[in-house]
This record gives sequence, C-alpha cells and structure tokens, in this order.
Amino acid sequence: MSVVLVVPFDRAPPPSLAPDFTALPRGSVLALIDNGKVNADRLLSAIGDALVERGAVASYFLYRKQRMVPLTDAERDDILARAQVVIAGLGDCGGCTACSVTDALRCAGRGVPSFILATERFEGIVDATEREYGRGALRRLYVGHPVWNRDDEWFESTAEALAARCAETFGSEKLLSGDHRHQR
Amino acid sequence: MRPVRATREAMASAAHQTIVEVADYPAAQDYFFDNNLTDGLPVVPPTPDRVDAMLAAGGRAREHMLGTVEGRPNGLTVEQAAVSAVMAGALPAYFPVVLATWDAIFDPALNAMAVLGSSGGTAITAIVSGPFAAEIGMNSGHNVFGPGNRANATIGRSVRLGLMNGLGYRAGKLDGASFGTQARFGAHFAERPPLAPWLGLSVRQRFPARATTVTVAVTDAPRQIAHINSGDATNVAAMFGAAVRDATHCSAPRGGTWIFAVVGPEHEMILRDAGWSQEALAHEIARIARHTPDELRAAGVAMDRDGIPIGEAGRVAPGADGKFPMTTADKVLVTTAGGAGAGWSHVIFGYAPSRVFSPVVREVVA
Repeated sequence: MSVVLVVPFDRAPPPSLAPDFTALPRGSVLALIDNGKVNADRLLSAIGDALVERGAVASYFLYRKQRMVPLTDAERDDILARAQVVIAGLGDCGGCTACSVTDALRCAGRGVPSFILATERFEGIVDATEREYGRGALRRLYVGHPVWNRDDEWFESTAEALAARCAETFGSEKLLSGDHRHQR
Repeated sequence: MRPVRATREAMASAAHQTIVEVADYPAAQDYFFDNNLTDGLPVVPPTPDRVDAMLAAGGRAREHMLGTVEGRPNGLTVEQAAVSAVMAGALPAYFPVVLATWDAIFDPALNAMAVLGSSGGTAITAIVSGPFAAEIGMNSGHNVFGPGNRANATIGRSVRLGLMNGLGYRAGKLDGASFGTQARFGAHFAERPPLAPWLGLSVRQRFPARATTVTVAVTDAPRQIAHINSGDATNVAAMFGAAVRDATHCSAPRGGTWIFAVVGPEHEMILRDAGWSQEALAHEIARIARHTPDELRAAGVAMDRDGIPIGEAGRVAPGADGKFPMTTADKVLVTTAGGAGAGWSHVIFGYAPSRVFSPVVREVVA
C-alpha cells in the first residue's frame, strides 16, 4: 500500500530585486563597511587606498558597524547618502558572512554597486545567503582564509590585486556580470 | 528512490506544498534520506492525517508565516513547522511548545541572521517552565539532557528539522558551523519546579503561576559540574562561578555572555536551606566569573598595550576592579533540573558575547 507524504520544503526562488547598475561616475566615494573582524579594517582600508591611488574612486570612508548584526536601515541610508559604491566585509565566519552579505545586498537593492569581501572558505554561505534574498546583484571579492595572521606583504599585494579587479569592474560591463574573483 | 508521484500546489507566497506518493514506509525513509531532508536519523513520514492533527493542535492557519530571517522573502510557515514536528516524532500535544519556540527564534532580539548559521555552531536551547511541561510529559529529572523522553527529544528536533529543511540551515548552505554539537539535534528541557521559597523561571519572568513559558537561547552544549563533599552553600555557589569563569570561552575577552545555571536537586537544597535566593546565586556567579588582564593572557588571549583584548578596543573595558566580566547577574538565568545524585549541576554558556543576541521568552499557548 502506497504512502502519501506532505513535503512543503520546495520553496519558490524569490524574484530578483536587483536594479541594473550603470558605470560608476567619476568622483565617486567608496564606503567600506567594516564588521570589526580582526584585520578587516586593515584590508578594507588598503583596498580603499589602492583604489584612490588608481583614481577609481575619489575617496573612501570606513564605516565601523556593530559586530554580528546586519546594518540597520538608518545606517544603510546614512552610508548611501555619502557613497556611490560599497564594499562590506570581512566574511570569515558563518554569522559575520551572512550579515555582511546582507549589508551588501541591502545597498545593492538601492541601486548601489556593492561588493562582499570574504574568505574563500565561506563562498558557500555567500551564495546561499544571496539565493535566499534572490537579488543576484552581489559582486564578490574573495581572499584566502584566514586573514588575521597575514603579514604586511600579503595585505599590500592582496589589496593591490583586489583594487585592480574592482577598478576594472567599476568602469566596464563586468559590473553587470557578477563574476567571482579570487585572491589567495 | 524516486517517488511514485509528485505534484506541487501553491500553498503560500513563499512555500510550495509537494505531495509525494511512495510505495511503502521504507520507501518513505529512502525519499527523505535521498533528498537530504533529515538530520541523519530516520523520520516519521508526514502523512496528511498526521500533519493535519499537528496543525489542529497548534491553532494557527496552515499558510500563516511564522517569521522570516531579516526580511528574506522566504520564511517558515506553520505547515512547514508542523511537517517538521511530525518528521521529528513529536505528538500534536507538543506543538504549542514548538510554535512558541519559533516565535522566539523570529524575535529580532535573538538575531537569527547572525546566530543560526554561525561557525560557532549554535544549539537552540530552550527551558520550558510551567505546568504545561509536565502535562505533555517533558522530563525535568533524571537524564534530563539525555535520551529517552519523547517530548524533550522531539520538540527540539522539530525545530532543528525546520531550520534545516524550511530555512536552509544545512552545512554547505547557510550553516557555517565549524564543529556543531550534539545539542543541535535538540536541546529542549523542562524546568523541575523548585521548592519554596525558590520560584520557577516563568514566575520570575512575571508570568502567572498557571502560565508556561519557553525561554530560548543560542548556546553551547551543557557542561556538567560537581560539588559533592561539603554541603556548604558558599562552595556550591563558588563551583558555579568557577565553571563560568572560563577564559577559553569566546566571550571571555569580549564582554561576557548569557549563562544558564541549571541547579541540580542537592545543590538546590543546599543553597535554599542556607537562605540563598536564585538572584543571590546569579550575583555570586557574576562576581566570581571575572578575569584580570593577566589571567586572560595566561589563557592565551592576545592583549594590546593597554591591557584590552586585541580587536576589542572601544568595545570592552575592565570594571572598576580591573577585571573583565564573563557575565553580569542579569544575564545569569538560574533554573532547576536533573535527578538526585551525588551532587551534579550544569552550566550552559551562550555561544557568543551577549551583545550578539538575547534569550527570548514566549508564553506557550495551548
């Protein structure tokens, strides 16, 4: 005799809420959303410095948010009132990655090009969190795991490489492609 | 194992009901294992009649959304919670506790976004305090954290299966747990009603005596502690304080965390007979569980030049005594459970600093 089962776990994928990005205008300001993980501020600032040096952005500011919680709407609005592009990080654990992805997605949902900076070990959570929101608008910057034990040379070279990739993305069609980028 | 027949029908904006027909009960198990819908153990097949009975016990509409995690489009419906409860082996009578737990999980104070998928591997620990716990046969006595009681085992499992199947908290998806813990299979337990003048947790939470509450927190696994020989209440309190004063816990350099102090029968008797209140015990635990900067250093905590744990400048500071607290009295939840023995109790640490989350209390509506 057959058995009938109720299995209501096949959820419909949420629709994409992402607006199309346009190329980054000249003179743009970059917001670096620092989640307080060890060396997150150092890596984010190094990327910001490298982008300014390249002329990809006019300036940047570091926004240090509370650890292990997503941005509030007021925080997001404050950031987006001052910035035209966002990098949120550092995702190097489960909870902080989910929160930083959410931060970036909330900014992307307002039409602002937004990057998540995470370690490669947490690519799965980046992807899964983005799928939960259905936005498909997240740009990714991955680095080797972990970050807290890296030396000066690593920060310098990694920031330079990531900045080059960001800069390339800012001014090109690749902003629309969402391609994955890695820096070991 | 392929289902004999599968159809889909829109049930709510965020969930689809799939009706699957399989050949027999072994095939049903294969279906759930093959589709990665279990916690590694067999499940009770959620047949329509079982699901309907569970829903009837909850008194909420099938398609009602219990909540979402930080505004994600998909959340958890009552039906998904009910199916998870059936799969876990829960009886319909337990479902009000399951629903109250979900209500707590979706309270913003719990910070589900950050805690459910944390690499810290959080258990959903829940104390059920009040008369309904005994009415549904929950265990508060011997082997309270162990196997053998259907209500304790399956209420917690209902929640874990809902997290895994309904909200996507599986390893490789949203769950980043580095180790996890056996407590993630389920960690609901009943409070053993304390003897007067001690009061049950629900009463101290300002609910009427007839009410039952569930207090939900994200925690590590329980840790057993012992004080056997002296019968001295000061020593019992010192034991709790020493257990909480653990510089290796992740919250030690980060401002401290929530603590469940689960007092066993002998320790309850010793403390109560000596005139200690539950509040006094909480204060003593908080007083003892503090570290000097040198003690943190000795435990391997990296400190900056100012004697602040690295990365915590501006976030934490020592108290007037120069020590860093593991907790504060208002964050020590004293409860009673366990069976008679040589003199055992437990402490359960919040999994992360208290600034990350707060336990949430909900009344069980049966």
